[in-house]
Amino acid sequence: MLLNKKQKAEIFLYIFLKFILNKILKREGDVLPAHILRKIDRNVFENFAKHIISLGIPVILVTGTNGKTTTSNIIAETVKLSGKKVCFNSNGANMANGILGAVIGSYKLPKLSDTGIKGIAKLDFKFSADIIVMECDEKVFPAVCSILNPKIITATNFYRDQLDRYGEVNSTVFEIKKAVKKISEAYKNNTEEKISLVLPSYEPLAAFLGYDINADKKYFGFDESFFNANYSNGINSAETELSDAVTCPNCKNMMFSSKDHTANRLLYNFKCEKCGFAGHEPDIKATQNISGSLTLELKKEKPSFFYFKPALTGDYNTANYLAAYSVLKYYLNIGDDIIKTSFENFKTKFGRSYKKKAGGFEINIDLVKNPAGFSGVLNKLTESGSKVNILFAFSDRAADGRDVSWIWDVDFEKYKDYIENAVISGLRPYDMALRLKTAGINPKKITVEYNLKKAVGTIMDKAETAGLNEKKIYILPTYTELLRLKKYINGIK
Amino acid sequence: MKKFELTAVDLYPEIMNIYGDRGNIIYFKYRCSVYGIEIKIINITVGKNYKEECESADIFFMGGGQDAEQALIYEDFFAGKKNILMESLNKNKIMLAICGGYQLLCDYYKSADGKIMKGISVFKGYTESGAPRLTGNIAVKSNDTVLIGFENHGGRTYLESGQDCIGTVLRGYGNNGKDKTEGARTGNFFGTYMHGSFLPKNFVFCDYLIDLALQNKYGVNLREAMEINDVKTGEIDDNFEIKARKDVRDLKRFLKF
Repeated sequence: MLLNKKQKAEIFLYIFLKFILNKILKREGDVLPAHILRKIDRNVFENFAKHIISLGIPVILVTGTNGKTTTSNIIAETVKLSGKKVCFNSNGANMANGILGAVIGSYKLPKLSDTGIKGIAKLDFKFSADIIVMECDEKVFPAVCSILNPKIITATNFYRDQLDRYGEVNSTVFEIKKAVKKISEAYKNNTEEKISLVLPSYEPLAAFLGYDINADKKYFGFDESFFNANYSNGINSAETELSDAVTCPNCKNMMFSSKDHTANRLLYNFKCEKCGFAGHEPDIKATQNISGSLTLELKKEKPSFFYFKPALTGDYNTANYLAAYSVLKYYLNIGDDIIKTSFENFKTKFGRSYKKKAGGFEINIDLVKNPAGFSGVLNKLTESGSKVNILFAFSDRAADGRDVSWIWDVDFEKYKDYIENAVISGLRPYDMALRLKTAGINPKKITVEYNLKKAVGTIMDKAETAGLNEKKIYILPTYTELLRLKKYINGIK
Repeated sequence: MKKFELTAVDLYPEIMNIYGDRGNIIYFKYRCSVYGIEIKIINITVGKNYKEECESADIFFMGGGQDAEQALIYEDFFAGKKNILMESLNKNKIMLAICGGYQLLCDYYKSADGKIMKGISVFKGYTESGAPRLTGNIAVKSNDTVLIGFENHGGRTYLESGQDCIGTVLRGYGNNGKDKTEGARTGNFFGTYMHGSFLPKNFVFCDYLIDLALQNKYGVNLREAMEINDVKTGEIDDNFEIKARKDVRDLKRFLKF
């Protein structure tokens, strides 16, 4: 299929708008140009999707509550390293406009030397990527999925997120399942081809996407031995009293009673007694996590192993690596040596296990946006057993979730003894201060500073005075605070 | 020596905790500890009868759940917990029920497809499912205090004319977005749509619940208990609590403190 004149004009317009936005107005991103295109042409996304599908470009969609940015980035970077050109929304713009923007942005004019001025004048745009990897927001997933027709889908997990934006997590998952089921049915009478799903073995809602569906499925998970290498802080953050899925997503029956599920959430072996919906034995699992080296075991008659030294620590990042490895190994046939190099040298996006040395300090930044993720981050940064100085930047703008209640579901009680000083900034700092105080942290160790820039200085001063071994600070911002922080942190040397 | 000890029963904590409602019991415990009051928390779930545990309770907590979860506890709630809660109501014991928990204490809930789920009629009134969800910060005048929280509910609750509510809506939707009422009160049982979490957002109300519980169990009020425990009012630091209320920008003008 060739691009029609309208599409050529749309690409041209997109490039023009993006140029004005980025170069003249000095603003980042490609969401606004895509938004304008969709205002002008309601079917613009569908039409470009048709073109891409006609070219046979494979599409991988990554969704879930936590870990979708990191997982999709690991996949995309590894594919790039393997020599392929990747179209992906690396800037984290994971709503429909951001995804459309990334797609249109991958159309390029041929080189002048190849076609001469004529080719340029004809606006002979070519889709320049071999593969599309998109991180996709849970709420827009059903729409994006039906437009882009992904060949491979991975869901990291579905935990409670911003309830005021997303509503109940169950209904979000049901909509996603419906969309996945629908595209899987196109292959109903096809014995050669199916869609592929990469899902966690331990998380019932995400695993449910694979239930009763015509697809090739791979499940990733953890082995008990992964948790044997004792954390120095003696806390296993995967152990939680809070549950996000106590009912069977298939038949609504209770899947487990009361306290049995306080066991490890990453080892959770669920089974519905009524309808039989149950967790799968992982096809690939993390087995050992010893002195900075991680082992993944692939289930086969004779198990094979993959060893690497992860650039990202924390058990939730191990889950991200597992999901990415499953996609790369099983469905993209990328060799272990390339995967290993990519995994070991992976650099995160700003705010996802991000590290920077500046002002004499190691600054660590991790986005926090829901209870499961927040508890995971706290565990990661206290893993070594030493005390930490943390700046919380906590706000309630629309993108953060207007309801701040969720911090009461974060297990601060477990980590209270590891927090040397807490400085709190943002629009709702005192809600966080109150939460920390109630968890048992001495109010004298809690400082509120509304001004974010000053707050960074304050936590550095506190860390300096505390005189801990390493000069490290941790910054845990909500989403809008992360964006504000980016401008500032990039500026300091 | 323990001079005062309160027992709190948390109903279905692992099921009925949709968004931070466990903050209520965490804060209640913290607040009691500030006053030197011992507190024992018992978690109660589906299956067993828990008669003894419920009888020992001074205060009950219950949050809201997703629809599927609420359906799950429904039978158990009726069969196993209804009678003991009615008895407790008559013994002036206390209950704080949020959102879905609150709806279960009313006469009935009518879902979008017209199905009726009976409640236990502690509060005279009913709830109808509706759209859109009523979401946002809320301020409610209750006697001489202003209660604040965050509401997020599809159900619209209509109380009978004789049924007490917990306050009048100053900002937000409340029970149904129409009649300016929010929550309900019968005896010492309270139901509300306010998350926040509710008690940390409203420490004065938390103190009020402690006060009621002490009066009911020991015949002393909170002030007297503080004297007996030798806790001075000046030692109580409410700085974070007060400022957290002020941080809610769209409710600021309704707050005296």
